[in-house]
Amino acid sequence: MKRIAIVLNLLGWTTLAPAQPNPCTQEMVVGTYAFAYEGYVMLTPADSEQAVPVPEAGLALAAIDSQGVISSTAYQGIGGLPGRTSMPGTIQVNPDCTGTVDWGKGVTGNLVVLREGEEMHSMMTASVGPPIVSGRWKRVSRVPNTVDPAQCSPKDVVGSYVAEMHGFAMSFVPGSSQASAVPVAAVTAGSFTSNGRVSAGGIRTVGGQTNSITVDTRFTTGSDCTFRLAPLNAPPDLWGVVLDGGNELWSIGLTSYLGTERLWRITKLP
Amino acid sequence: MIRILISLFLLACAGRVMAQAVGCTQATVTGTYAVASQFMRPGPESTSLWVPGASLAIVSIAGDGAISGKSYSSMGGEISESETSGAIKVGGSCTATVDWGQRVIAASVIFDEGKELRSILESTGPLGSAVVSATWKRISSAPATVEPNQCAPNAIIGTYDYRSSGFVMTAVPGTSQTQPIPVAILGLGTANEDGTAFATATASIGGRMMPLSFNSAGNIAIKPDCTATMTWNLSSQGNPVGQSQHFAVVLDGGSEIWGIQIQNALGQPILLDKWARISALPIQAN
Repeated sequence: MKRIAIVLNLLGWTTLAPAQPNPCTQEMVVGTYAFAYEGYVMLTPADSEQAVPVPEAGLALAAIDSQGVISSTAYQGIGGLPGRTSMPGTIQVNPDCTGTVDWGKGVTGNLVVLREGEEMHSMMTASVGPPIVSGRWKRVSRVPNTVDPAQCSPKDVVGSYVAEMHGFAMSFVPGSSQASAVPVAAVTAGSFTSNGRVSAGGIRTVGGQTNSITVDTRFTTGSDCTFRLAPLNAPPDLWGVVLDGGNELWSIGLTSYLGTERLWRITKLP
Repeated sequence: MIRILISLFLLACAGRVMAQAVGCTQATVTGTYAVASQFMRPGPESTSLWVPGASLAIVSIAGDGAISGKSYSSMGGEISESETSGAIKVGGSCTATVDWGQRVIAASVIFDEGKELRSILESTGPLGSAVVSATWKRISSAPATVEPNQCAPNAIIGTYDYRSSGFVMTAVPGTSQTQPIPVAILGLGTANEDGTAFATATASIGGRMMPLSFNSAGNIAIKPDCTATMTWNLSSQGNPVGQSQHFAVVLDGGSEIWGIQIQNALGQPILLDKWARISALPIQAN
């Protein structure tokens, strides 16, 4: 325990004592969360001795039980390599509303608990490569490993939405054999209809080249408050989590078209 | 009694229909906003190099869509302060177009009845092949002013979650060039009634973890226009690191603070800050 306290102190976390009337507790973070993270990991290319920042983004549906045990499923992209991963871990909350997350295999993070656990902000402190990765957690439900009854029915997501995305696409530069990260961003407006279709239009910029985009695809929702966008008879383009009864959707691209290092925030219009 | 209930029900239904029919109009975006932007511009030597930038503005949108305000920007670590002006026109489906002049035009979407906007530049004009995205958050529905008592000098008392992300420009060993190093910071801070403030945080600077302590240099006073300049003395494990200076905009009566670093001892900053209040009570140092 003393060793843990020393490590936390070195990271600057234990010099604060709470004066707030409702200090944070482990119980406060029990539930199911959407966890979005983005940033960079420092990786050394095969033909170089110098580490370079490689963009990373991910989105997880994470359940936290009363012991702080996390079970989660995540989709993430690192340097153009998409993947689906299970991320078991543990979370420990301190009375001053700071905390730590241990994802195992040397992957750790710090966090701050906000609004009695409705939201958390986190930062990775160690990973496969030195990380510069920030995370945001938002509670889907207070029930771990499941969702409240009737919280996520397909009709919740039916409506008009606006959306924004920012991140990176991996692109080959002429004359180079290595892909490099190109910044991208987009804003769109559209609707999820009751017959399971998504139609939207907007503007996208890829490395400063702007073009209009249209989306005409299908969506499916799961009882676990997740959703997917996929053309008919094709792999899904985008996976996401339904928050706040459908008022907010967080999602990540699964293909090069919608990008694996790009997080989308989709908000329902009143 | 039944008649009253039926009347209330009909009123509620009418209100719902009206709310849906109204959607977004020019009036939806009238007010005062904080605008935080992130830039990426191609580097001078190769298209594989991108130079990061960031800006923080406080702007007023008049009833006719005219925008005026001031901003601090960091382009590749070069800090500048400027006046800004433009015009916003709200279109269908809660979208909008912002014309900043000089062929710089942004496409925007409007969230949450105008409380937030997100925009990207669809025409970059003299900025060249830049990728620019921005988040707008409303401070007040009144243009060019703030609601009474919203931004008193001591509007930010309490305990805050502190996040900062972006880059610092640092020297490339053996050359006169600088390169952007990604940075993320997360911590916990407090602002006291006497205007002093402190925070402890962990910074990841290019993946190297560094514990940081922030102590305000002098008192922090919030101006009536909801802006402030904050200067912090930085130290790491008791060793002084230098100072950082931040331009900040206070939102939602002090529940949130957005900032941009305009000086940092760790390198030329391209760093945007966000503070979110987690308690109205300050915390005490042991």
